[in-house]
Amino acid sequence: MRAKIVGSIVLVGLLLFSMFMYAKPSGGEGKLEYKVYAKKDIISAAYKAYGNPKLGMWVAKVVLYNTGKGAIRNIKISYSIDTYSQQISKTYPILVPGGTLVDLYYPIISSDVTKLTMPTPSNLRIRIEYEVNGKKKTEEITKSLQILGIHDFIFSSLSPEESTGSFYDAFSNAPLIVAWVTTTDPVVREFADMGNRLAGGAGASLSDEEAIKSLSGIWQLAVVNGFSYKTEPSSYWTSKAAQHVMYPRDVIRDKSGTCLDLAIWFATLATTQGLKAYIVFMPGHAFPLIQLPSGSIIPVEATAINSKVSFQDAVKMGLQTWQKATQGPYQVIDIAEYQSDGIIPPELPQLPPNVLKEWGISAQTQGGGAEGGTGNQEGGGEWVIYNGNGFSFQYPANWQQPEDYGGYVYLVSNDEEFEFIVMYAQGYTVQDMVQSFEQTLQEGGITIKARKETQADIAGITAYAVLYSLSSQYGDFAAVARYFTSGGTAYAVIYDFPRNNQEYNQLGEQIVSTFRLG
Amino acid sequence: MNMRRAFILSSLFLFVFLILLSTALAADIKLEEYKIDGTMKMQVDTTGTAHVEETWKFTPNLYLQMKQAYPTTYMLKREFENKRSSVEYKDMKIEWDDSNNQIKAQYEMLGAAVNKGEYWELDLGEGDLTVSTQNGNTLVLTSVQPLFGGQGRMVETVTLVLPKNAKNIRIEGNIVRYELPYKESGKNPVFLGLALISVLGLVLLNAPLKRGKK
Repeated sequence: MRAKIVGSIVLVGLLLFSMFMYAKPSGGEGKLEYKVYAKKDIISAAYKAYGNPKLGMWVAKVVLYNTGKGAIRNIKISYSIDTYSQQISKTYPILVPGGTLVDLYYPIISSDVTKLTMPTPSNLRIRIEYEVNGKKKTEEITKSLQILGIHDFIFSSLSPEESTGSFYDAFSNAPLIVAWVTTTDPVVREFADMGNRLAGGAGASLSDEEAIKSLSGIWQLAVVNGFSYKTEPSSYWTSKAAQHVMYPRDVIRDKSGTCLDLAIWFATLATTQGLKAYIVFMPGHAFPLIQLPSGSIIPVEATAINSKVSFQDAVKMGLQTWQKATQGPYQVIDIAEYQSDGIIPPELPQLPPNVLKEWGISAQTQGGGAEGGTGNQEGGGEWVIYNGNGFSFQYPANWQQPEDYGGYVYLVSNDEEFEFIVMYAQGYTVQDMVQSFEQTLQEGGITIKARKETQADIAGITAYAVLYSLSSQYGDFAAVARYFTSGGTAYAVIYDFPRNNQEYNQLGEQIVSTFRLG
Repeated sequence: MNMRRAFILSSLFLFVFLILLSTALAADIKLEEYKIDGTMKMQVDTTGTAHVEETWKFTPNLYLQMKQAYPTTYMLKREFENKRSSVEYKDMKIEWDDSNNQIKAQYEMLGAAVNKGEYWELDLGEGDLTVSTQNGNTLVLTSVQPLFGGQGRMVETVTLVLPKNAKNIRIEGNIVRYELPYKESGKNPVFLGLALISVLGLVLLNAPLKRGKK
């Protein structure tokens, strides 16, 4: 009897042990190991981009490894950035033995960051909760980061040990620069519209001609308002240091900018006119490309604004810059593409409606214009000097001041029967000027009834001259044109008057006699 | 306003902008569209790790630019293994193939497939994905991805081999889902047998005892 009881107890014990051992995962426990990668800087201007997984701009990457022999269950990873991004969590039911889990943190960042004007330290907090064999465990990690000021741009967020040292790594943040392209900023649009009006009101997206006309007007507006290029310090292009980049409105206010500021500024102005634009980064430089309605793309050397050259010359210089860029590493940033992906500008403070006037932006010519110098010309009356872009002449003081349309200066008598025009184009030949002028006259409905070639002096130069007999629906008139080149620029100095009006013919010659270069 | 003045003025606008246009069009540039043809064989194991063999074939110009940017395979390897990547790579081997303008790579992509409890999920990334064929646990797909901010594109043929026992394989958007239940390993049948023997022993040992009582 006792033996049976002892035997039964042993068997019950064996049964319990067997059941426990069968139920217990004999593979063992799960063991969590992890790595955390975190960005060190957040570019406030592009704060909206960080929350978009499509852009891949994660702020933290958590890699969990299960190096144990059992599963890890109910994993929850939570992230927050102090007051700038509320806590968000993600859960995973299981991480199998030998498995890896890669979790990326795309924070929805508060627009409060746009109020920061200086880099501000902050903390990224990560909490990992999980269960191993029913036991709850927690890991907490804090990483410091800095939230950059609203104007700060950093060319690369890679640490030295991450960077390969290539140009592409040094400029790995380049696409984020499209956050500075503020196409919808009312101030920028107003500036562009003002330039457009200066060009006679062009519909830039209608045709290449209209686009060029519009861009030229905008460029000319900047020229007459004395926009300039300011050089950046040599440390500007280093990949790690935060650099102050101006928004287009800042460039308009200050009337100056670095090459990157000016590239962004002009590209933005083009986009306000419905044109597609790009920003090209090359080592130590940046410049815009503008796509015309036909699909043709023109490079613009925006820093040429400093030399007050015409838009035409800025494009020529842009071509040289483009050729230089293609000799080495470069990146072309498609503004529309990246903005449609979600890299969009931050909210900027509202400005008063008349702010352009306050900033002294005006469509009136400042570079040229009448000066106080007066004199008496034969024929009586006072004359004043007009100083143009590389030339000057005198005209009757009681006439309206000549107007500079960016490529030509136009003077008209009070009775509007006499016109005096100085046209100039860098890099052109005399023949180019003659052909272009005569062609445009014809296309404007003015018939050249006769032309007589001759030579005539102007500013100490013996110029190729043409005496025109012209006809249009407004009557017959005569024109005298002198074509010549000086210092790489071609000039056409022309005056026209009703046929047989000797008085105006003499007046024209008088004005020509006051024409000076330099 | 004298009509003649306005008329001449408008002609002059035309004059200036014809000059500008002719110059501008002479300065017209072309942005090169880059194209990469790729093949990828991706074998996913039961832990979700993908073992990948991949080849990218470039246009000659782009291949030269790539070689200029990354003169050594070490630099290229670091570029792919960079910590900014959304993927965790392991054991990457990468080599230039100058005669064919291509790069060949072999690597492991850790955590490529994620166990969501009921099913596993494998995200094949951005781009347009088309399934060409499916044979058991093997899928052949064509992926077209934009590159360089839309300035180029990569067309890649992807052969995806899922774990042997993967079931109910389906593709939703760019995500492949399949079922592969996780079994806790180590249910040792010896202990089950031992338990059965214990029960049998108890029955045999205690049955006569009851009879004795009667």
